[in-house]
Amino acid sequence: MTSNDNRQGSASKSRSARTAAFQRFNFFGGPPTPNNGGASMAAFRRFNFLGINPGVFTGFVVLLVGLWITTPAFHSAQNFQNIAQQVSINAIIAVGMTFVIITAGIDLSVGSILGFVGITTAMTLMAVPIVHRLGDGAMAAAVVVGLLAGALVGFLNGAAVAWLRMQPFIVTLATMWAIRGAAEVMTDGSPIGIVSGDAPLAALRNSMLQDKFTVLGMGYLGPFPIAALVAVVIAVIGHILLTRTRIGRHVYALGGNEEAARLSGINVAGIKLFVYTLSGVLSAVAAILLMSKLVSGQPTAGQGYELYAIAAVVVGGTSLFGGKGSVVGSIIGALIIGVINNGLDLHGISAFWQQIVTGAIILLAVLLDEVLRRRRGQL
Amino acid sequence: MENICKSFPGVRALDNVSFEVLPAEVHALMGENGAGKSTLMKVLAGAYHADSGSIYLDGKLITIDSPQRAMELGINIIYQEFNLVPHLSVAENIYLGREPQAAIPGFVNSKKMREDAQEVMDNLGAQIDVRTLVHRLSVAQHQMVEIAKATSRRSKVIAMDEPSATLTEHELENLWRLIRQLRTEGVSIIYISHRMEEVFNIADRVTVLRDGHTVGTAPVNAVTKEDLIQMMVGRKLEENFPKAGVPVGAPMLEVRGLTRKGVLEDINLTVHAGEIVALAGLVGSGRTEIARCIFGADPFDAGTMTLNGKPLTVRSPRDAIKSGIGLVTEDRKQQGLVLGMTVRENTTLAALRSLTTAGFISSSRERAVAEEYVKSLGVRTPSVEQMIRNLSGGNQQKVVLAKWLFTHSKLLIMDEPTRGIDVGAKVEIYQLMNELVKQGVGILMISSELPEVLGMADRIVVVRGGRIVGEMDRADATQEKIGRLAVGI
Repeated sequence: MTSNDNRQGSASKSRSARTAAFQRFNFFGGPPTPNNGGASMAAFRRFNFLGINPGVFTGFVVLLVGLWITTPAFHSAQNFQNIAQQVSINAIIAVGMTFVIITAGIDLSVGSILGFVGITTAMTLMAVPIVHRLGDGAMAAAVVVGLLAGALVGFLNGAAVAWLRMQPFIVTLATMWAIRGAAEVMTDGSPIGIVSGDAPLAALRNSMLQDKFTVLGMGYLGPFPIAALVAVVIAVIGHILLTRTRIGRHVYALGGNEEAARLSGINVAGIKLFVYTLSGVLSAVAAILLMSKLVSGQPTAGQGYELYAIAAVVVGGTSLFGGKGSVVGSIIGALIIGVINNGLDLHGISAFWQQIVTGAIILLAVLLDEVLRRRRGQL
Repeated sequence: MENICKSFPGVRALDNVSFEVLPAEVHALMGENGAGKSTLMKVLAGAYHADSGSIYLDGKLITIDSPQRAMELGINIIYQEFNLVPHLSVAENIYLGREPQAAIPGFVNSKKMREDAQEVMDNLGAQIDVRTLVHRLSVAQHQMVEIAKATSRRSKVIAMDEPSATLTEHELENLWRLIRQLRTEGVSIIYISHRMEEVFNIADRVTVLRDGHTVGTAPVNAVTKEDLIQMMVGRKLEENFPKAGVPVGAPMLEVRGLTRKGVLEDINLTVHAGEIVALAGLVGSGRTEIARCIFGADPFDAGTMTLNGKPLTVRSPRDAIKSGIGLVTEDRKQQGLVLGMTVRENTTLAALRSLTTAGFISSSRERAVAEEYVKSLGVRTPSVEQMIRNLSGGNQQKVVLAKWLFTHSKLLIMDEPTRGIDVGAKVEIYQLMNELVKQGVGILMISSELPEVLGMADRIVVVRGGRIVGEMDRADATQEKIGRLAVGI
């Protein structure tokens, strides 16, 4: 197929990172199918590992190779750790988003959940009665509260979609506004951070926040950032859930044809509740990591993260129409966006250009997906 | 059309098919499902591109690379699946893309469009006001609008794919009158149909396809029904309706007073174990609605149901399946299958629990189950991993059946189980139904094909306007009796 030829031709050894980035747009393939639906590309046929779309994967590899060769600063352990740190948070959100989008839904509230859960976690962590009673155990309490807060928001989203039969776009749009507002209200607009020395239990609380809790977001286990390890574990569990369990199969069926799924006895409302709650919980995990990194609960945290997550999922090959997608694809999508931004950073290109490039990637990824799908359909 | 070849992933749909139509002729195209009839017509209409082969019109070689091109050349096709815009009126749909211009350029002459459209509809005897929005029309009326669309264009060749599927006898007569009229005007008609009576009635010549090959072409008065069946199937069919004599057991499903405001009124129904009860009636009489209420797909306002003597409450299809009831839906694409999934996944979709331990699906067991059903139902597919959308309609229907067989339902509701299925496969399905009733399963069969109803049912219940208007045993039933009750004479 043509993509193979292009790959040989553009082994962009002497081009800048940005051109390499644009080159790889040719290699986005169609959405990954749970099984290799009779694809005609013989070489790619066997490449159905983990449901990764061969086009997306080759694109990613080319990108890595391109950057490796052109940018010396790229292949340092430090840089990879940086990338891992930054991408992990978005990757975790993208896993949850994958589930939601496969059901032909969408969750626009994840960014706001980052802010909301961030401040509730911080507030719990720094709450005097809790620290007084539990000491360091307040950290565990904070995590639990944060996860519950995310689950609650997710459940509300799911309930509106499943029981009130509202459109996911509208519901999560409303939640996005409302939860962000709630976070601002609860904190009076100011971040929850270290307290001044004369506040009760100041030393203990500040040390917990700055030294101990921050380990989650900034700590390392050997060479690996803890945040990245968390992301990997979540991705693995998510992938197994989606591809090997009954719930996962039901998620795909619901997205593929909701009416047929219902008439086959699938608990449609239950599945919808599940995916939105899951998205809320995973966003909460990301929120906790982010909060720990920022060493404060910021009510404005996470603004715009929902778009990154959706972009990662779409670039990774999941169809917005539902029924098709993979967790691993979304992780790669998140990595692609992260690596490209990293590459642009290393070349000193401003953050504004990065936004333009990210937008262009998404556009071209979806465009190529469409073109390849049409070509396959006309075979 | 000469030596047309067309392949899809895993399936060779057309293999050197040659097909010829004379001017001013009605040429019937017959064949089993998956034989290639629809594919051939789609190639002619420009919807598909042939992999190889050539098409000649009036002796000149032509290339049809798009539906527009086909229409420009005077080739029009009326599909089985309708291409109408629901929120536009009938007139607007008929003249979509070629609306008559008004005095001011860019504006439409609505009055002329309406008058022309009404003339075409009246010619068809359809009694439809062309100002009606299409989504308000019944399925049969959709069909008439599609026919109007095609006949209102200047055509040399009109292809009709199963035009009679949803028409009443009266409308069908009108259609044939129109076809004959078009023939006198020099138009050629390609008529695809499963129904022998129609072919013998209207066609001049008939061509039979099988497995993507042309089997033969003959003038209609030179062949018999058996000849055609043999050509389509390749073997002699012993019996059309192998009805097994199975003793009927205890009452299994009892429905009393089922009412749904505006749709169903006081439905009383009993199905015994080992019995096949047929719900007969016209399209739109309410039979599918009865099935959906029993299955929990739709809510109802009054009535009780018992299953094997115990009261039955069904609030969702999930409840129904748990209670051992299955529904083989009428519409396989919208309701029966998830087109984006494989044969294997569709087959096991309604009963995954039996393949699951601790939430995980056993992929080896699943594949084994899928392969078993593919084999026993004779589903034509290269493997169970094939995407279901690549299978022909009839084979897709078999997978839908497999799905419900796998649920091991005790009461199986089958809504038009053999619609769109070829003669050979129909017999297989009837035999399957026999196997089921032998095992004590009760079957409630909805069917609009009277021969099928008379051939397979133990008891026949006739529905009209949401009410039960008659009931009879197999021995007392005749086509005429059922027909009268269904129509209300």
